[in-house]
Amino acid sequence: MSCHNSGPAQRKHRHRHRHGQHEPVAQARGGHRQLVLVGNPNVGKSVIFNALTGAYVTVSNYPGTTVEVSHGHLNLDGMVFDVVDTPGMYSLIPITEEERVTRSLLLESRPDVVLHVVDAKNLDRMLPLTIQLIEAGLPLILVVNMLDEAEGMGLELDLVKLEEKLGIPVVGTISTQNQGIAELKETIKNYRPQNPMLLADYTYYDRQIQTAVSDIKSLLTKKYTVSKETIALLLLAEDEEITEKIAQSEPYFADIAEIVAKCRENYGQPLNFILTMQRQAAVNRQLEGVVTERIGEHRHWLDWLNLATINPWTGIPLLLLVIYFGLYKFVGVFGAGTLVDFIEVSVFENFINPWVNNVVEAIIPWPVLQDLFAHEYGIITLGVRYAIAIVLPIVGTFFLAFSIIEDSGYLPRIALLMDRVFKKIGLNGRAVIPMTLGFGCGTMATMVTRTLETKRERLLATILLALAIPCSAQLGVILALLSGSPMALAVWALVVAGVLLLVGYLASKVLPGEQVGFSLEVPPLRLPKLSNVLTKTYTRIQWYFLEVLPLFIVASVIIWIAKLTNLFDLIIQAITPMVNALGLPNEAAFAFLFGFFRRDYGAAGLYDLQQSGALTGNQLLVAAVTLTLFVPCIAQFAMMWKERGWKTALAIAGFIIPFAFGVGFVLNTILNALGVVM
Amino acid sequence: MKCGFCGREFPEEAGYQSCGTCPLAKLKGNSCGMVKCPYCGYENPKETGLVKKIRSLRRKA
Repeated sequence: MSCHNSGPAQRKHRHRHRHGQHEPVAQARGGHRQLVLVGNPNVGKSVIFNALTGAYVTVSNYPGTTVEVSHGHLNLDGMVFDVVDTPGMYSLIPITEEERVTRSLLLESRPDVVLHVVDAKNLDRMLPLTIQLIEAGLPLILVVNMLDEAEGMGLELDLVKLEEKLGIPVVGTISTQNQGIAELKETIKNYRPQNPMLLADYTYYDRQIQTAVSDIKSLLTKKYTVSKETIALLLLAEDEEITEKIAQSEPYFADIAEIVAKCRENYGQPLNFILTMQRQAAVNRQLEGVVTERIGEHRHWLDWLNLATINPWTGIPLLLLVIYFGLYKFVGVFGAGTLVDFIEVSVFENFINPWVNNVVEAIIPWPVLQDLFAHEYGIITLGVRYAIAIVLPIVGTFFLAFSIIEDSGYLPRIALLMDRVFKKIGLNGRAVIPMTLGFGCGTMATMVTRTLETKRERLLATILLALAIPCSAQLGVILALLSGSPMALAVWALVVAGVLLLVGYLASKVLPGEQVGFSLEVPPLRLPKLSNVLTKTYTRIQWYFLEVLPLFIVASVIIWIAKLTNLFDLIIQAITPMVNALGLPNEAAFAFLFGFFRRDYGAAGLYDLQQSGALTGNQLLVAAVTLTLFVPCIAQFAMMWKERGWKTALAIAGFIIPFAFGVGFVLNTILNALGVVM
Repeated sequence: MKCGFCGREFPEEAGYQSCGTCPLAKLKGNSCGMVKCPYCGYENPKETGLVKKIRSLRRKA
């Protein structure tokens, strides 16, 4: 966006824009006119660009950036347009550099015609940008593309009604079949800028926003290439770039900033969120009577499934089915049972470990050094075995299941479904992102909590991630441990979920702050593509393996040093009374110590104990619950320190360790008192 | 690339915008293997060299 003082030249130029409403653009300007194509990615913008411009296209970087912009020419009976194909954008408030470039092109290049290309299947998701473009006062034509796909989905679109409602020309196209292109060219040729009906009074924003827009507008003294309403709305949305520019150019910026701050005080949520919601509500109203669905006719089974996944009555049973088959059966029984049994027992215990022990003993004469590589806690016989034989098959099957879920577009639907539950614990559906990532790696997920909108939410999510969200490997190993007893697994899931909800609920009551709303654009549900699933699974396994193997080796070395220096025994002695209080044998103390290096390392230690028959069913359950809630691993703790500060990190760890042992103690007492045997 | 969560498309480079503030990036030289969606914050796995190579071979074929 640019602003300038209204000198004579500018005044003349603006005159054409403001009052030339009944004059065709073609007559209004001499030389080449500029036509800009905008829209979300993958709406067929480039196909339309090619259809309009033909073969001669130049591609260049937008000045000062690495973003490529395509230019071509369109000749309509001697009326020549420079056509610009812009990078995809979702909103007038840019997030990526590509969106910044598109906004600059729109707001600074004074286009004569702007084609907003939208996907006919998802008008409700696309039209908020149309509204923003109309608000900006840009000379707009709406191109509703992919009409054939919308038709195939059983959608009927009344484009005449949409044109009446929006007050701008609307053209329907199927760009891949060149349909509608001739009509589009005709519309461009005869285009006259007009006052869109929609913008008569901005009544789709509430009274407070309208007043703030009007007040800010009255304080803007410079002339702009876009409407002052848009400048005011971008200031209210706290767009950094615009705010900076206005701060430098407007004499009454302090007053404007005060209006923005006062307006912000009226809402519990960021103003950008409020504006987005109100704009979306306006779009939904505009689409009433424009889009109709032929119910039952042509409806794809994915559309039914889509509705079923979002409705709580059907969505929760479906989610439970996904968890049962995807996690329990596939990861727990197949991955952690069948695969681990084969690699651990048949390969490592029968072949690799005895062979490594023999080779090491033959090569290295000193028993102390032999222990570094082989025997009970050796780098190869323990560290590599844990990583390859126990964790890898579990993580591999988990990532495969996760990639199928991710590629199908099911994750955001879980977010919508969980929104109501998360609200009870002071969060909202947006927290599904860090929580879901927490099932992969708690360290990464803790970092992602910074995407949550308020400090309170970030703190709540950090506590819950550290406490009750097991990482993928830990979850897998625990599923493997308990898969032999579905009852034990059910009790473990109930206790961990109960702790998550209870602690979240109590923490949300203690921590001050207001609840934040949640909106999410849900992408279409689709059949997962095999190539995508395999790529994602392979990539995640490689990432995880590179991450985990060095740490497992380092942990083995630390344990070896600690054993040599007797430090190991001292720590074990310190932990043992607490472990015994849970009804667990002394050996379980090793698993808890391992768990602090990495959660999955600790769970793998429990797996070893179970294989050797050192734990009963009850002990296994108590140990699994305590270890799940137990202190996060070193890396996650460091991330908590970095993200939330050392006081909060220590406070969280100080709460979690006794709390985890406390829950384990209570569970063990209840099991004993009731005489339950798992 | 396409975000596995919100379905929005973004250039891979945009997914590294927040790496500068991550302590893991300093430890591992920006190679944690994740690409963060600039719209929703979801961390997508970065395509490995092998996958990129297979893709380019398929494109050539």
